[in-house]
Amino acid sequence: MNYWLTQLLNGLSFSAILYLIAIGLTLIMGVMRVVNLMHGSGYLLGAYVALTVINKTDSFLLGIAAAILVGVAVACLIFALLQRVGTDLNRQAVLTFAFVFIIADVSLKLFGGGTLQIPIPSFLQGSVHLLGISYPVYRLAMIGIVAIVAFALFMIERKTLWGALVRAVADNRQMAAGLGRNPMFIALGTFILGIVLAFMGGVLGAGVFGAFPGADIQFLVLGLVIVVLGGMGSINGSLLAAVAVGLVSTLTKAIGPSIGDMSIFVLLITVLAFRPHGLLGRVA
Amino acid sequence: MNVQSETVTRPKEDVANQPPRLSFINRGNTSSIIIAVFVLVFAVGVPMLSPYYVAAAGKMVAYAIVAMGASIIIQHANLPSIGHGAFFGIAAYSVGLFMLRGSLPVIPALLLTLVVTAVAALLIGVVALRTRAAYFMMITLAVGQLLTSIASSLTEITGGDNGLSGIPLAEIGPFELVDPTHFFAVGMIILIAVMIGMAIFLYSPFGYALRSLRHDDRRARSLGVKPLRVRLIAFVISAIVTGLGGSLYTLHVGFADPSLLSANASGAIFLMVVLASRFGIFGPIIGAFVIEFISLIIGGYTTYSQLILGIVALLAALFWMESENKTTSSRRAPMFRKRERVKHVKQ
Repeated sequence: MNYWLTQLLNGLSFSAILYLIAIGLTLIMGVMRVVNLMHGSGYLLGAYVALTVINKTDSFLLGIAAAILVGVAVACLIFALLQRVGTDLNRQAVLTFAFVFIIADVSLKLFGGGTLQIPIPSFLQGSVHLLGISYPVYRLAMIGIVAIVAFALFMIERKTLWGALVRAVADNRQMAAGLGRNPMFIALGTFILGIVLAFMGGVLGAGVFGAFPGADIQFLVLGLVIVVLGGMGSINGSLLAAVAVGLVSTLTKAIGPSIGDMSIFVLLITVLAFRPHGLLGRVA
Repeated sequence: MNVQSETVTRPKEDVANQPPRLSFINRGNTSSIIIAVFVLVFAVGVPMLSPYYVAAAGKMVAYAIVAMGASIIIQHANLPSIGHGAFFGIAAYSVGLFMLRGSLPVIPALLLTLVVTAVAALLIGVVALRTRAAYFMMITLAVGQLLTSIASSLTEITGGDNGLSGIPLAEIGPFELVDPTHFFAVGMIILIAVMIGMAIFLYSPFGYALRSLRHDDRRARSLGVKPLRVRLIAFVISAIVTGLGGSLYTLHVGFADPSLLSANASGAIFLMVVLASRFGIFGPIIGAFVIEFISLIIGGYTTYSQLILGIVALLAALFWMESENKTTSSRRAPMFRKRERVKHVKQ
């Protein structure tokens, strides 16, 4: 019983990181109609940048700040390149996948092939007793932070002007432009937000799951699975699917390591067979 | 209205209403003919080079077959699959397992492998083909990568991350596939067969039906084309050709590992097709040659082959590739119809 409670919390903390990755993919997909294939590389880059800064300065907060800065810079660069490429899906895919190759190879040369973990800040070390089990504070903090982020994003999307603009651009770009709003700025803002969230996923996640070559593709694919499962452009769907994928993969891995990935595969195929547009997706 | 426009006359036979000529040698296929000639020169010229280059050329040819297979879906059906590495890998593992565990001879093992690949494509296709464009890309990428992790976790069957090694030496007729020159010869024969097959296939009624689905299902449906069925058949054929290339490659190197199915491998195959798709139906061969040249020859001199591949892809996306909506108008049009010529009669 206690074992399963631990696994449940492990699953939720994995879901938390997955949500940070997937929500960016969903937002970028919805507003810009771009499949950002370098999104998983954002996880890797965020983790490596934060790790470098933390090792140099011993400050977790500076690490986060550095990751945000680099994230904004990378997002602006790729956004500018995407403008040149235009709306063609194949070109966007080649462009963003090019960054997967480049970032993977450069970080392999700089950081080696091993798994690197970000040292957990001292105030989040240790574990607490909770419902009869002892559980690491850091993982609980991960769940808490991401829950706040998810709630904030939900409120921004529903209740603020910025959220309304994002929805407007996602629904009808020309109409939004006709109302006197520049869709380009909204798209850029969304793109930066999405990439920075992926970087934050890397900073938070690398303390537990580590940063290693292949993490980029792993998180990209899990992110894509979540977007597909949740329904294209659905923020609530992404949350639901992130929790589902995190729990299913962690719990089945607890039963048998080899069925962990197979279970996600089965989940994806089953959902798509009955709901081709995802759990909460709208039929286009 | 001015008098000029009324004096415009059409040529006697109405070109636009004639059925398209169902022949390969047609206007607009100049680049295909140039590539075909290049492939023949390549076939004759490469064996004169040193064995190192012949070995690399053999692998390039195997990937050219793979890219030709993938182009049916990516280029001609306009469905951006970043999951064709899965079919490469499935074929690689099945041919290895049939020969290693099943102790089958080469030809039956190859045939069974193609059946296995076709069944896998059917199952994946039924789910993935209900979607279009970006959604299709995401699903194929995810399915391919999930199959990679499954291949590396089923240690008892596939050998896990260490890969499947010790696949018996294969001989097809007088050719030993381990030998670079023999492998190059076999690969070349199959590549030329695939090229001829593609030229016939794409100019058959089915090929036209497939291309009619590129942009608009409704128009094609009104002509009696069944979209899902046509796409599914094309998907299976595409997987079979890809699997053929993959199994040949595996028989040559005698080894299969999970990275064959990975998103990186699928991304490279996707690149091979889209980089050179503007060269017409044989374009993917050039794409495969270029990409494999980068990873084999340049990769032999430096450890940065992935980085170079990334930079090539980046430059291609920015400066080389054409947007789809541009290409629908004039460049590829001769495949469908002849351009209407309007004669201006001067008075």
